[in-house]
Amino acid sequence: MAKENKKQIDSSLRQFIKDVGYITGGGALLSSVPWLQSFTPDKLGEIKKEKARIALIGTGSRGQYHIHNLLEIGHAEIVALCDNYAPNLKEAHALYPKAKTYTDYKKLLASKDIDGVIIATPLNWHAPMVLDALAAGKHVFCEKSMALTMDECKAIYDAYQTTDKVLYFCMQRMFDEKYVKGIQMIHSGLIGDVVGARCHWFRNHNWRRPVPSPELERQINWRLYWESSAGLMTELASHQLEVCNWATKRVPRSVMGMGDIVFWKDGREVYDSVNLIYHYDNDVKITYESLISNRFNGMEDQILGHKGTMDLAKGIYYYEQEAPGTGIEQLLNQIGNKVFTSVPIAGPSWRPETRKAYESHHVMDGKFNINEGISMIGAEKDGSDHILSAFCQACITGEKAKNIVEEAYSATMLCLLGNQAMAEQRKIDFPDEYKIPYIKF
Amino acid sequence: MKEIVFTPKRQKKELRIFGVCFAIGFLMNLASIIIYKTSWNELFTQIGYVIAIAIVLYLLFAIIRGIIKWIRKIIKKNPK
Repeated sequence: MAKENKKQIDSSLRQFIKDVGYITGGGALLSSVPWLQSFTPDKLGEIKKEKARIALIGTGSRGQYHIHNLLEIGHAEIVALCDNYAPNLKEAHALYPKAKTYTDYKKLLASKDIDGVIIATPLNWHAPMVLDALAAGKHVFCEKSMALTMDECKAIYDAYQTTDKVLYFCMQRMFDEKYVKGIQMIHSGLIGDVVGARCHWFRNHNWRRPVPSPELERQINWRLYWESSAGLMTELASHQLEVCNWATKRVPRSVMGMGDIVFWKDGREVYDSVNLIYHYDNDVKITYESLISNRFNGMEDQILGHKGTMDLAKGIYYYEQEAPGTGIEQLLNQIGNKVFTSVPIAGPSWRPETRKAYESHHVMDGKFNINEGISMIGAEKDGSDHILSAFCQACITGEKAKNIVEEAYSATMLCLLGNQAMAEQRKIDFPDEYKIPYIKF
Repeated sequence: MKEIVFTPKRQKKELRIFGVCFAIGFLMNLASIIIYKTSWNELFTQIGYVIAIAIVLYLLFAIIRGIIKWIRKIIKKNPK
């Protein structure tokens, strides 16, 4: 049974690469997903019998989610697990007892039997661990966001410029087929000119985890405190802002917004409600909203075009105006409209513009997974398995994936700038000292 | 119980009326292709709409004819 699973995940990644636009023999992928150029089926074929030796630092819920995915990746072998919180390490070790355990990540990094490390720790540990791991000569896969501060992000980016090691950040939407297809359609002009973006993530959950004793509160509920987290922005918005930049092929130059603790007044420091506007140089704006005390609106990543709207999270698009039907349909519609539609005295411009029911079109055929946005760990088949599989293959080939670090850097910077704008209650421009050549405003 | 007799003459008349309804539907389709500049293929592909229009018109005419017949009957029964 286990063998069957291993074969399945391999072929799944190969199929994914083919599905998103690989042209057999041409060796080319469509320009919307340059990071996949390292994973063409020809290249994947070369590493058939090799296995990447992977260590995991941080064995909490997300770490264990990665272990489950790793166990299904044929070209990966878990060799070590590390955590300074014993109950999590014990649980993770039970999932894969063959792995060696560590409580100090530096000792783990000193091991010569490790090709790559996966970092699934609180945000404040990302920068020191990524930098130490690269310095120790390991390939690195780190959870999003990139780091807790802008200086740390820049330090990681600079370190990546000088290393020959692979570095991944888990922006899994970049490996989610419905997002890839949707972005390809946007770039092909399907929804016309991009004129705006609306992203939101609504939940009704306190974002807390049970704490066995009070002194562990900040260690376990690290998401709730500024010393270890940047709140909703780095935990949720980072994915969505990355998608907006991917769709628009540029990065917003400024941001303004407001953040508050509206409902969960339980001693936490980070906002439970954020509303921001990001402004691109071409005057297009991202409207971003997240609230964790009402889930009515769910999670959506909408790219608005002058001809239609792409809802990437659902893999659905809508046209502003559907293609006209056949002649007789148009004639009957016109007769129907004349008979049944009442036009107010002031004319059609005075009709109330309540949202009408649009006809939806799917970006892909067949059944595909949709992330409801509720899980705090990770949704099923949201691209996390593909990006992890891709990283393991990169550990073997040593080939860096184009733009993954740059996309993560831009998105994380926007999150941190958003937090700064909310804290200082003013408009913040993208600082010159943090601009990198990749960023196009 | 009154026996309804559907004579050949009546059958021909009904077929003629339905033929007129079908022709109206066909002309509507033809006109819409010209007005909305759509494909001439629709003359055949949209035949379902033409038949539906013909049936609706035929039923509409049947109702009107029924009402006329009913009024005539009343007038005949109550001559001044």
